[in-house]
Amino acid sequence: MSTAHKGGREVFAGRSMFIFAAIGSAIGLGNIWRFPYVSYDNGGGAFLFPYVIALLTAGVPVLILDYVLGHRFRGSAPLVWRRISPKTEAIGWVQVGITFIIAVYYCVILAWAAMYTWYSVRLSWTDDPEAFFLNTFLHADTESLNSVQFIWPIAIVLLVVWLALTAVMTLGIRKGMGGLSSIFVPILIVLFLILVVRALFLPGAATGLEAFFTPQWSSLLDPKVWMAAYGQIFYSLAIAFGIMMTQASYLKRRSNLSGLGAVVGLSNSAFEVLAGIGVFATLGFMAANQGVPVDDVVSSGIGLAFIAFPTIINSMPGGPLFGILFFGSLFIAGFTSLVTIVEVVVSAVQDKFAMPRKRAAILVCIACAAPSLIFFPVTTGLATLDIVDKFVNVTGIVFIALTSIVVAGWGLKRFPELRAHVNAVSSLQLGVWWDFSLKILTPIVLGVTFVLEVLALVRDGYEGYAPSKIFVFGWLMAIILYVSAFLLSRVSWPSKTIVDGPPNGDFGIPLTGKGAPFGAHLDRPHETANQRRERLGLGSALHGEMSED
Amino acid sequence: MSTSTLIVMVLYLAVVWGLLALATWHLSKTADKNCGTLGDQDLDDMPQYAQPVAQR
Repeated sequence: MSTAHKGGREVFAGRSMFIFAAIGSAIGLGNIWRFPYVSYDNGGGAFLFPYVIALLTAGVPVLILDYVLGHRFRGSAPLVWRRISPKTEAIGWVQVGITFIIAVYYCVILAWAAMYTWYSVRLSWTDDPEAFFLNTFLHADTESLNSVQFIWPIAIVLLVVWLALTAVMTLGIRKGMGGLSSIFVPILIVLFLILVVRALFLPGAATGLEAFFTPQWSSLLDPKVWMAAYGQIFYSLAIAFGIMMTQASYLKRRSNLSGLGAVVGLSNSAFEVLAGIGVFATLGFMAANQGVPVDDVVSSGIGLAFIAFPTIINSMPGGPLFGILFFGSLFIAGFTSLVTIVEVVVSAVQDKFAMPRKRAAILVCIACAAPSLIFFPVTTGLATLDIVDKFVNVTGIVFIALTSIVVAGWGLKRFPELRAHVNAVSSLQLGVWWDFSLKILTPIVLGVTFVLEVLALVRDGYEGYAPSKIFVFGWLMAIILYVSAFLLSRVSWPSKTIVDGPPNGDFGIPLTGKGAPFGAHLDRPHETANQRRERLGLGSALHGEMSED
Repeated sequence: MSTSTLIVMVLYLAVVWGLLALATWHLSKTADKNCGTLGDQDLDDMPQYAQPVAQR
């Protein structure tokens, strides 16, 4: 039966398990291949100031918003939004749709990383890693709309990754997500520390660090630099699209939300600063080796990981070991994130269709794996991935983050209630600055980003891809996302699911804004849980969730 | 590396890692069971819904 109404919603075994799962979720590919370039390109060392300010004024506040929504309303994203108000369920389904789409293409990059970990042993990319990646490995076709010419080695590894993921997802929260993160996040940190230390001893490393940290103070006056800082924080922390909310719904009822938010948010930043040092020390070695300035070898994203790093590994003493460390780290960082991404969908299917965990996990993984195996291990896969990633970020994540904050804060006026909930259970008390950050600052940043990005997509297209390809994998995908979310929100919830207000009590904080009523499912809402158990003979189990022991 | 770059690098690491250390230390000093304005109150001994309201 669904955990939403059988009285069996799973909870993390403890604080540390949650922290590892949340860090595993936040630390992903973007930390390793996006942050170093964004920081370098936006003022170098001077980027520290907008970055830390963005973290403290938007990153951590939105992360805490995700946590309080999941913790108070204890459900998957659609159920949380349904419990907030009957009119907002579709927001949750858009968040589920976004994570579904991300899972479909994210897994492909993990398959590449797994294969490159193996290729590192023999430096299979030969002397020309760019030609190897684009021609030999991907057979990249950027012109066709979609190809059916499969690249079988990638397809087979991708299938194996999906099978591994399915196995983890069927294990549930404690044994699956929690257990995996508790083992792999420490391994990831150790692997990456070894990689960074090795990189620091390479010839030319100091030149790379000089390029990375040299402050360009004038950049602080450039609004684009500040937008880049806020953008990096949003993308990097995986906030406002259901992941952190779903994780928080598995927290124990007494959990220090703001304390956890601060640790998770800062862990993510600490890791990406470390990644920046590792990446630029390595790029410094590459520049020194080629006798060119660091500026000439800087890259980001897929190009950095699958072209620049293999080039560096070729000329590095102990290159194969460095390659294994780098691509192994990339795979682990991605896999721990992918588990939490897919969990958003699994949790929603469980709740909405009253489905047992294993069946929901298998069904969702098959539904994700099918398009993943059809559209991506083919010659047009790289171009398709690039377009889908861009559109899901702009038309999906940025828009729904903006919408959810505006709806909850301005439309339903729920921030005072949510702030009181955080303060009821947390050591770090939130002030009205939290409301200000969420109601004013974050919507402005998100709104400007959304408008500028959409205008650029409409005006310029994207990366020179054919308009038909951009239409199918960009705009049409976005339309399907929003229409599907609306239709799913029209489907009824199982009859026993509590759909109005927080299901397990209001923590002494009543509804102060607009939205669904509290306690409408109880005959005596003022009664305590213990009195109710005694009257109805319910035993010691907590109402609505399994034992926290 | 120039002195100013070195200073910025140390500052960068000190701020981000220092804040993380501070947040971790703070979290380790608190117990979930008695955090926040609820203090030691047992949720199961509180009214489940303080002030049920009709839908607005």
